Amino acid sequence: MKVTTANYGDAIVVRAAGRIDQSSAGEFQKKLTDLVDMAIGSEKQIVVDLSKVDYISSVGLRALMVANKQAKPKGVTIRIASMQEVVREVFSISHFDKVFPTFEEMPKALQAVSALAAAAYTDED
Amino acid sequence: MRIRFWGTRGSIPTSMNADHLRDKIGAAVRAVIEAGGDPDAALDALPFHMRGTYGGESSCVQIETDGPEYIICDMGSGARRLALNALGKHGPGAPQVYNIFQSHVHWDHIMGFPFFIPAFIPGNVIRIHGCHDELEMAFRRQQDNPSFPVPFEFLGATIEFVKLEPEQTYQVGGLTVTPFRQLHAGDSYGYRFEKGGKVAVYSTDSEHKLEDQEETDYFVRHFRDADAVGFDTMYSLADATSLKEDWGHSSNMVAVELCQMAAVKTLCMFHHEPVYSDAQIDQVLAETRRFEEISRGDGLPLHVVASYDGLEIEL
Ligand SMILES: [Zn+2]
Ligand SMILES: [Zn+2]
Repeated sequence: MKVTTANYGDAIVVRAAGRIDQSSAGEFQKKLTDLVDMAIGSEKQIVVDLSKVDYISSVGLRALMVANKQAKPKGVTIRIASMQEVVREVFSISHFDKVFPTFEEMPKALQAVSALAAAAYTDED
Repeated sequence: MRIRFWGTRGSIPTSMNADHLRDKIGAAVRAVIEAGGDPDAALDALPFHMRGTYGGESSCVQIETDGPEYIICDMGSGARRLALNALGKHGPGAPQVYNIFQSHVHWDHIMGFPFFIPAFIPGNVIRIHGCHDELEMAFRRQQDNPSFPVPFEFLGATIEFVKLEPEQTYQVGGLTVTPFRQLHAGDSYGYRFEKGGKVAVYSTDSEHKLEDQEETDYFVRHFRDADAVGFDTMYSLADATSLKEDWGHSSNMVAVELCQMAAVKTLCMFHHEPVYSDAQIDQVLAETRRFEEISRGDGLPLHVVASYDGLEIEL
């Protein structure tokens, strides 16, 4: 699993790639919680781009939930975008789709953050 | 070895009310009329939630072997029907030995005992096994004044409490039994039962997070190659990691992952959330089976069933 980040206006985009499971969830969680701290400090929002993630296990989802618990009380929303079909199914089976706002495409997730974030994203891609 | 489920509901017994039952009958009647032909065949073809019910008794599971002694996990409200069945089979005049294994002494797991008729009948031997120091106190206390009219001392059977140690192996009723400690407020214990090459594991009221590899390995070791595992799948993963985190119960997804790691053959979803309707449990079952397919990888298929009051599984 690999995690990269990018900033678009007031959105911090987290791009994960590969499998988020037992072997990588710890690293994923550390990265997420650091980014949530950053988002809280800079009044930004988080969008997690899962387009390159082939699979997420229960520990991977748990990592997202840990980050969400840290983010939500401070006004930071974690949005999930571009899930592959299998990952989308896992989100539905786990009911994580009831906890996290999910978006089919990145531009829509960024629009939900702000017009500024959406514009910055469009300019770059 | 055969597993008989007498109570499969978590936390508190529940039942359908008149409206729920009317809705169920209405939907079944309409579907049978629409199908036409033989009504019994049409009824049998309906999904389980339309033609049956998961039931609402709290935890009680029997493990039957060809031996004469009873092996029972937990004394939830389902124990009442088990007792009636046993008395119907042997009659009240034929003393039996009942070996009971307690996961823990939360109320939903002991509340059937005051209604366990064999306990009233002299000649019966009831051995209540468990790893908790409070085992005997909890059973006695629930029958103390003013909670129940019949005090424990009044019970006519010979009742013994047997303290077990986790990780130790015991021979009881012709079975090899190994208790192991689980993750629940005040602790709970799972039991691995083995006989003639068959393995059944009873593991309820345990909250698995799978974050700590050593802890995960411990459970995988106790589940290893089991023919069937009864497992606490009370909550969705989202609930188990947020609102209901540290409430001591697990999810269907964690159940599948643990059983896959341990190469278990059949997962029996157990300790169902009392607010779930039959249709909801059916849906959770379908989703759990789908998750099993998604997460299987190169491993062997894991058969998934949702236990219900009255289910029998032959191993
Ligand atoms: Zn319970
Ligand atoms: Zn409990």
